[in-house]
Amino acid sequence: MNLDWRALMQAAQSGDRQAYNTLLTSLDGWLHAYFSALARPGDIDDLVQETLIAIHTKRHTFDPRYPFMPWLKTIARHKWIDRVRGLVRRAEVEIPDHLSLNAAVDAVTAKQDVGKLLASLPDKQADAIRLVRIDGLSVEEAAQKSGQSVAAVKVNIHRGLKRLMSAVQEQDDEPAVD
Amino acid sequence: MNQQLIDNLTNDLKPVCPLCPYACFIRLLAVAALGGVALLFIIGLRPDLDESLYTMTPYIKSGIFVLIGAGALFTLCRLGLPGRTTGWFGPSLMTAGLSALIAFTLGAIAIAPNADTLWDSFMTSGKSFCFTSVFGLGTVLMLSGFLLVRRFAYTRPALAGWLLGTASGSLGAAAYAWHCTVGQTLYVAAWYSIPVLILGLLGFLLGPRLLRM
Repeated sequence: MNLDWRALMQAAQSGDRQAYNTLLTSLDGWLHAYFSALARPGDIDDLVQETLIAIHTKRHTFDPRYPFMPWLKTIARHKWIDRVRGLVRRAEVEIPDHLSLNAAVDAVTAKQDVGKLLASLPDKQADAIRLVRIDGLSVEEAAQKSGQSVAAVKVNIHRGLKRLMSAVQEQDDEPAVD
Repeated sequence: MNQQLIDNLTNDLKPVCPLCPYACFIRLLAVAALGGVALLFIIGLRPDLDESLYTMTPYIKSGIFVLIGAGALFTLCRLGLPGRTTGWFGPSLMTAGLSALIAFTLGAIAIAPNADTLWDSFMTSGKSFCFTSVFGLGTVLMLSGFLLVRRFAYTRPALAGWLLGTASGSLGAAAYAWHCTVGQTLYVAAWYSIPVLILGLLGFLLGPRLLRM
């Protein structure tokens, strides 16, 4: 690490955008390397982004009198643990021990159906629902990740879920065909 | 590379003041003190205050819970800064308060002439008012606390919630001690501590929901 991350963060806390951009760009590479050793390849990008957003929203919790690395590593590790917990929770929901194979197949089919239903929504509504209701991000994090405002994320979740409910209702109302 | 995200975050950058855990601790303690004063304003100070000031009882009753509450609050503030340890000061205060509470309780049990005396002191009238007052003030303090500590970054939100609940209940009990005229150790240990334990449990459950980073 050639850059002085602590000094860059201190400058960023004072509002220096150039220092902040340099810091985040440098952290991006470091976080990719860090998560490569811990996470599945498909999760690395998400984890890096979530950590960068957490660094941004919680930058006031860094005390420039103390080293930067423990602060950074604690946040990154927390994001990784959060992700692992989420995966475990989802795995528990998807394949509980007591379920039969048929039920497990149903669960997978249901997941695919959710994917299909989301694909039928406008992109912004689908993104908002996926980030908050499926990936478990907070509304604020989802807003930053999707580039929408917090209010827009809330509205899009509400409208998207309403559309999904009426789509499911329509499917249920269709007469069965042999 | 996440250049687009980095550019967005950079554009969103505003100057911030680094959080000082000690300033936050003082602020939270001040909120708790205000809450305590408000409670005493509503329910009043103990009627025998003049005489009781010359005895150790109200100081010990209140002091034990101040130690536990202040220790929990201090630890909570340290815990909110990623990469920092909880330090020794907060846990030491909590341990001192808890040790004193246990020692007084065991002492009271040891010197009690029989089980009936202990039961009588435990069931002294006014227990439901004590419980309700401590729990009520503690709940208000805990909810205000959740709002005040949201700026911190808790990587162990359940522990943080437990600390906040315990601190709120303890400081509520410390304030209420200046209203309550009951001096029996077992009564205080039970009817002041039960709401503290419940609030700690509530904080433990609410923490992961309200203090998510």
